[in-house]
Amino acid sequence: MKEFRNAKHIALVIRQLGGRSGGAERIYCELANILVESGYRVTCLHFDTKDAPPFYPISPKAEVINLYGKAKTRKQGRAMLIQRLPFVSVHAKNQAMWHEKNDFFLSQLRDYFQFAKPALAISLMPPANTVALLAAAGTEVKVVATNHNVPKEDYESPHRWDPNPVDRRLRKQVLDHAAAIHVLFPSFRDWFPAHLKDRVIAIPNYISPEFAQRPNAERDKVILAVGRLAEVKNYMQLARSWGTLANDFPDWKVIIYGTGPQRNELKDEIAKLGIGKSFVLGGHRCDLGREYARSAIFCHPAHFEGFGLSPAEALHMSVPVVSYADCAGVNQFVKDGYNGLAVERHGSVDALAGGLRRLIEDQALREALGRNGPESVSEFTLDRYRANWVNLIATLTERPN
Amino acid sequence: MATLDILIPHYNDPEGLALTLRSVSRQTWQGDKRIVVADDGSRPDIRKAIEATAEHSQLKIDVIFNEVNRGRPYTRNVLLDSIESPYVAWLDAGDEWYSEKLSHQFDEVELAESANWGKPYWITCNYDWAWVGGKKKKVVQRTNQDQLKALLIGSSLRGYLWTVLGPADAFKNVGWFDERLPRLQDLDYFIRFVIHGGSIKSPRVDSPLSIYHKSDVGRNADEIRGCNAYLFDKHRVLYNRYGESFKRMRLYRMEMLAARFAQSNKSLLTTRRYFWRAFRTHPTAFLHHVWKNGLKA
Repeated sequence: MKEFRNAKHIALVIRQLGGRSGGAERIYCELANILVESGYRVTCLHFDTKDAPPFYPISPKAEVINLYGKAKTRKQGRAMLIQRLPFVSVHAKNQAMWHEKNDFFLSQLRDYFQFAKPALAISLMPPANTVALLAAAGTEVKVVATNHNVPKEDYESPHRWDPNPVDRRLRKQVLDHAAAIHVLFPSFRDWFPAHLKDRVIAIPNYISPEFAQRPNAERDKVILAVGRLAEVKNYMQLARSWGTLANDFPDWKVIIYGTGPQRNELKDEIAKLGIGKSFVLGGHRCDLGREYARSAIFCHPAHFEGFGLSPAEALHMSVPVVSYADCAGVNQFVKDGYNGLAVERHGSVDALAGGLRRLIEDQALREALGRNGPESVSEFTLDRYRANWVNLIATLTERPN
Repeated sequence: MATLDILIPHYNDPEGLALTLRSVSRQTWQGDKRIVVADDGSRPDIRKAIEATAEHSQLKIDVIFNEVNRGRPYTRNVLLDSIESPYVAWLDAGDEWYSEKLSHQFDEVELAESANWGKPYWITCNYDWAWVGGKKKKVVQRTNQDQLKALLIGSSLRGYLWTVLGPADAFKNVGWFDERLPRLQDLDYFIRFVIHGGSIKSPRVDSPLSIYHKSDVGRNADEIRGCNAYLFDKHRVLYNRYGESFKRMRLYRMEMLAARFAQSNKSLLTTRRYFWRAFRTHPTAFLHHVWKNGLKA
């Protein structure tokens, strides 16, 4: 008689998902769909105060559970009280603040791991990693902690994630309990302490197969940028650099696609520099393939990236990239003089403007660099990404505790 | 290929099955139906009778036999595995549909599809609840509420598969029935449907479209309590979302339900045991119940 067996159960954990359109949320939803397609039973666990659906589609074959509830745990109740007491040390208050923020999420994940017993949990980014690793302690559930940015920034910067020093300390400490630690590039392994290095696995992101369009034979005189309008992307510098070039190249345009918190500040800067006619904030755009196909240059002046997806997409579409040589997550694949120009960030001259000027003036160089683009990012494929995850899951779930 | 597969699990109840099939044959909906009866290892004489019924019926009936009795969830999985048509409805041997059921539900399917609903959906319906030997009582399935919470409470929206009709994928995507649940496997399936992003919809009619012939006789109180406990643990994080008092009330209701089964089967000691557990779980709710209903569970 036929038996009806359930597939291997993978829990994907993220802190916030509902309605969020960021890159990490996209990766989360796509990983869920990839694992469903690969035959796993997938449960997506998140912790959102509102029950908004995910922005990116998730397969109806996957379960999606919002663990948030209005109820408070006893520890949360005590933590709220401690924060109000006048004679308590700063450290104790920070500790209490951490518990108030995380204890319900933690107890929910602990219950889920204890009763649902997934074969493996994959948590996305430090705000979920810390809680998932603590919750799994004492259960048989193995956790893969994934990192979608430069580890030094994720684990040391007081400006990223929860600024509470207790969270920053825990973030690093709990990595000891991870079955594997995912990073985006092999060189990111260097940041981790020696005893964790053998657990670090590099799985880069992939360029979506949707960017299969053939580039235009005749490119427009457009310098393209794609990304969130946020400080880390450094588009203010692009505006200032273009301010020094705009008068020399009146038939060229800069277009940035993306939205974000720095939009108004950027608009003010554009107005101040008087470059409104040639520097366009294009907002959100779905069909980026057409924009890559028609653009002559791609500029990505970010301070740092986990995986610079938009410059990788540009290279895939044969657009030469101008970026800073020290930008982690981009300098892994933008090679100066091969597929783009990697300019020095620190110096007396505006190297970004210099790089752009050089490419604007030299069509032959643009074309030569553009031709090398697709080959330079050819390893970032969906098939390889899927195979990397499936292999990692197989290795971890078949290995005894 | 038919438009609708009607999936019926069956075990040693030929009269019940005949009643059920009659209600299918009386449907006013004229679409092409395929009935699948999965017999869960009934006695040999009953198997023969089912084969004969299928052969001589004007309905298109496919029969699948389990070699041995494997239980209701396994049999539901056999049925799930047998789906061929684009739409699916469930019906248990012994329960009935009123003649307009499929017609009203397909009207709602049409509306959902013309509105490009985009989410998995099932269409449920109001039904009559008929205790064996008692009067019928209409029960409303309220779908315009927090469906997850309502299913966990199990009062204004109940996980009865024989009320629902939906696209085949909306069932298949939920996965297999949980074979560790000899009872309540359909409630578990409803809960999982909702956490798969599914939504339960009502047709535009208020009248009952099915009839549930209900009896607690012969049903094991310990088994129902065991299944409820398992379900509670399995979906613990969902119960947690609604707070401690919600959980306490749910646990109290589970004890009282087991007490009802024990009382219906005249098992005095078991009834007392579950009453005591209900009292310990939620003393005020238990005393309130006794004040209103006496010691009738």
